[in-house]
Amino acid sequence: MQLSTWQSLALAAASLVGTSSVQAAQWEHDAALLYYGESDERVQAGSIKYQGKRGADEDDKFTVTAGVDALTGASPLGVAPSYNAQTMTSPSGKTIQIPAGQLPLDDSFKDVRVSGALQWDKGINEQWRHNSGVTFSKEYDYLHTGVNSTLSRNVNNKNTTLSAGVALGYDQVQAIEGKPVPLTLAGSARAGDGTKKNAEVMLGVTQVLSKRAIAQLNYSYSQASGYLNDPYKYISITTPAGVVNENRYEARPDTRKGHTVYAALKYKANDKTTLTSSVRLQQNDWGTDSFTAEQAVRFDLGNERSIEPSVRFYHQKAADFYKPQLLTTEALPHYASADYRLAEFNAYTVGATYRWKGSKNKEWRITGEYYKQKPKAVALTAGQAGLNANPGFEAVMVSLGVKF
Amino acid sequence: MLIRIGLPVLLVCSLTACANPAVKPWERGVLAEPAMTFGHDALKDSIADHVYFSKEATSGGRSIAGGGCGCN
Repeated sequence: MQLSTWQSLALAAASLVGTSSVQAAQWEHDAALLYYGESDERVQAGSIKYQGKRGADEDDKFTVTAGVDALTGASPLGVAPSYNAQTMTSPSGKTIQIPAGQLPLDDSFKDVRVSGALQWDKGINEQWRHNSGVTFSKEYDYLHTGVNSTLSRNVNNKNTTLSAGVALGYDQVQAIEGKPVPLTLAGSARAGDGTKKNAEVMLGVTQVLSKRAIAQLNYSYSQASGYLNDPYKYISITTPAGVVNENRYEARPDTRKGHTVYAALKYKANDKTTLTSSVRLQQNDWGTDSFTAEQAVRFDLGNERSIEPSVRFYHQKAADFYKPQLLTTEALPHYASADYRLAEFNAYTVGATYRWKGSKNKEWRITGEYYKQKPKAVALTAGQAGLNANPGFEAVMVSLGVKF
Repeated sequence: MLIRIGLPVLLVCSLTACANPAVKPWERGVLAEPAMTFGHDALKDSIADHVYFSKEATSGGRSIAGGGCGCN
């Protein structure tokens, strides 16, 4: 039998982990392309993802996931805007000219990320299952390795599934020219790699509520320690008159602990309408507490086609150490970051997924989404009136997927 | 601390208390549909989670072991 490229890939992956006796016909494939583009010539990204799964839901399952992401565009440096033109050197050694009155961006931002994961899901007996896996990703300046394991048990006539899982990660921050010393002046000596350890424990329950409703509830505790800075982000030290006096590398704490509660509900309202709702609450010791709510409604259009509009709302508080800039009149704090992702903001996503059945039983989908990040306004000095250190941004995401 | 630990436990207990054990295996036709299955669109979910992880300070919740990234 002539194998397709996908089947060959899946079989090769299976062979690597000693499951070469699998039959090609048992594999299910899921592939996707993604385009992500931000406004104002900021980040543009393209991704290709693949997931191959062997085994039906009740059988032992083996899943292989692989992906390549390519990114380019401009990313905010963390430097404060000023009515004076600024010149600085990017971490890669490029001179950046920042025109007066503009948000300082590093347009030399580009990266390629290759990622992969292997998961084994095995039934132990009628009630118990266990799922274990490894994750890996490599970028030019970052390496991630991780392991995870989850044990689950069906109770209550399989109307309830209880699960407990743990994931451990070890990452290396291989910053260009080495990692900077936090809060040293931009251009100061950089050296060596940073390491980051992540641990997460999750307890979950999935509960059948009725013939037409099922719910999921997860609680997780996560902890990260090590080098948690972004080695390419700065924070400005500005005079009260609004002149950027100097830029320093950001400084974040070297530990982070968080608690997350996630709840989701699927409800078949009628023969043609399925609702999916979810909420997520997170509290963590950096102060970036957040709330997320998502709602999707899937309408069956007949002839194996469906349309699924969706909305998402996200709100986070600012990190305790977030400031758009520091002032020359203030003592240097222990921790400080002007990274826009640590600011207080709301984010909104609206989109839709259209699904249809193609030839040879292929299940196609196309998803289009619009994302807007709207930060809470934070005043700068009087000398920077009218300037915004974090104006927010808009993005468009389009992904095309196929299952076969 | 009591709230952090107690709230999830209370929610789990509340949820399981809503259980309807009367739903038999042969009555699960609707629940077996892809649209009614958590994680059926794993690749689509992982793409969304990765985008949000790179732009926001929160990640996870939906599942464990989302993988790592230098993007945040």
